[in-house]
Amino acid sequence: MQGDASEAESIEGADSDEAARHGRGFSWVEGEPGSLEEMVEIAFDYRGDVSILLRDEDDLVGYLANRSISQQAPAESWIEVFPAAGGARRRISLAAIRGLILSGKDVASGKSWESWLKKYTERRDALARGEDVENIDLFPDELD
Amino acid sequence: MWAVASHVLKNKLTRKKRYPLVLMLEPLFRCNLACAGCGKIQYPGHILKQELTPEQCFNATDECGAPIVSIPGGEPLMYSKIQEVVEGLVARKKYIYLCTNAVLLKEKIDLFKPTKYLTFSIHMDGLEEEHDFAVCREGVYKEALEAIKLALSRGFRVTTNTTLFEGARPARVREFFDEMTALGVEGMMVSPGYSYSKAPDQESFLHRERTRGLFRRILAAPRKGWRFNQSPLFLEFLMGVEGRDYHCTPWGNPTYNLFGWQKPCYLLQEGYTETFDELMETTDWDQYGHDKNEKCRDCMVHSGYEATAVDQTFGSLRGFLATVRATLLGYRWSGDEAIENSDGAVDVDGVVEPPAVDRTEAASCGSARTGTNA
Repeated sequence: MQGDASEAESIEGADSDEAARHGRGFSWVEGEPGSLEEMVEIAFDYRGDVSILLRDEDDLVGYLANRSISQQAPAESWIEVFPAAGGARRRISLAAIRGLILSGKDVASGKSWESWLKKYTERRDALARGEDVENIDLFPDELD
Repeated sequence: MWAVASHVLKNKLTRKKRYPLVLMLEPLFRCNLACAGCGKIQYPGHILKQELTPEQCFNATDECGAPIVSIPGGEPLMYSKIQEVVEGLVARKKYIYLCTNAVLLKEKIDLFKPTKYLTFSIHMDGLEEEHDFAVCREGVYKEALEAIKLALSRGFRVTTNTTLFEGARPARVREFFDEMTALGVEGMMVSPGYSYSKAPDQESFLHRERTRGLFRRILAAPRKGWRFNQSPLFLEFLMGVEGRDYHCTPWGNPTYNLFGWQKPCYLLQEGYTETFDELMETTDWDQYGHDKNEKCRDCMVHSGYEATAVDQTFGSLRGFLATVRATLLGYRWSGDEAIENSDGAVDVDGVVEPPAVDRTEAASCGSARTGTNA
């Protein structure tokens, strides 16, 4: 498994979730240490799109929304993906996958409560000092 | 009340062990607020653009069979088919709680007709300062207040829905309840935010005890006129009243959204099933509960515990009488005498003073977060 350690390590004060340790760019391709099953769990927790490297067709980019991992019957294991390009959700057998990459932006990044609290406190203190301060209201991201 | 009672009794008579009370129907994840740390809205744009179809909403409602349908989100007033879905649910005689931040209510109110089946449940996390702080935007409290007044004037049922966190100031919360009562809302709902930490040095006992302490200081000496739209036994559970050490009922409020039926509960996202029956049959319910699962250990949220309180009400004569007593005479605080102090909060012995603001891993819309990185 390989990842962008600089991004993962730059997350100050983040929770200790798997997703915090496995930031954008983190990947697993067969032949590397680790397993596809482990990578699927990481991708399931990730709040961004993933790239699915498929054996017999073009790679697919989308949001991995669900998975079923069967230890008893690995051939029955699958992931469920909402393609970023649109269209119906797809269920893909793990047997058809040769790798996964956390390729999309982590949309939760930078939106923690701690981050907001820091901004709020700084603004309040600046106001108390009589300084001019910017509005810090939060708004949803524009949809593509 | 009657709809819930008959639903519970019917299930008890048929000896059904697990049954839902409230369907949490999330027709979209998109929201017009961007509350920091909210785990319900952190999805890529192509997911936020998607919505359930009305048919999916109705199928889920029919499959589940719960008498109450709560419509959170995302922001349900941004859902393009909200009118059609509400009308369809009213036709099914479902009691609907449309959980909204009310920012769009003035604009959309003409889509709806007053009926006993529809209640606007307005998200209000406290007085102006606290609410605007919680939703990370100034002015939202005032907008919500105007929307409440408008909806009441049009004859709609209106309740408020408040999530409290460690650091909440009891006197301010009591003042907020006074303000909502003065507005004339039908009832108020209150719940602690979902708060857990994986830090190994944090004792869960302390965390739960702090939650109980906070609620004792708020609720132990209720002011005249306060009306809560929830089980009085649940409120007693929040205060830590003896005999109210409930276990979670995660199947009580099943959640359906774009991804399917959410396992195991409204807060945790451990996977999805295609059908409601599959959710009920394949979820290993024994894995969950504050004494069984690290992720659940500090949870005291209404979506997990209110169903337990309701089950107790209708599960035994003692539970029923306790509910009747609490409804008629007010909920019980069995500890030392509770006295409102000069700050407007309640002094009760043994209460752990809540610390300053600390909302690590909390989510104001009642959602657990995963991967919300700083």
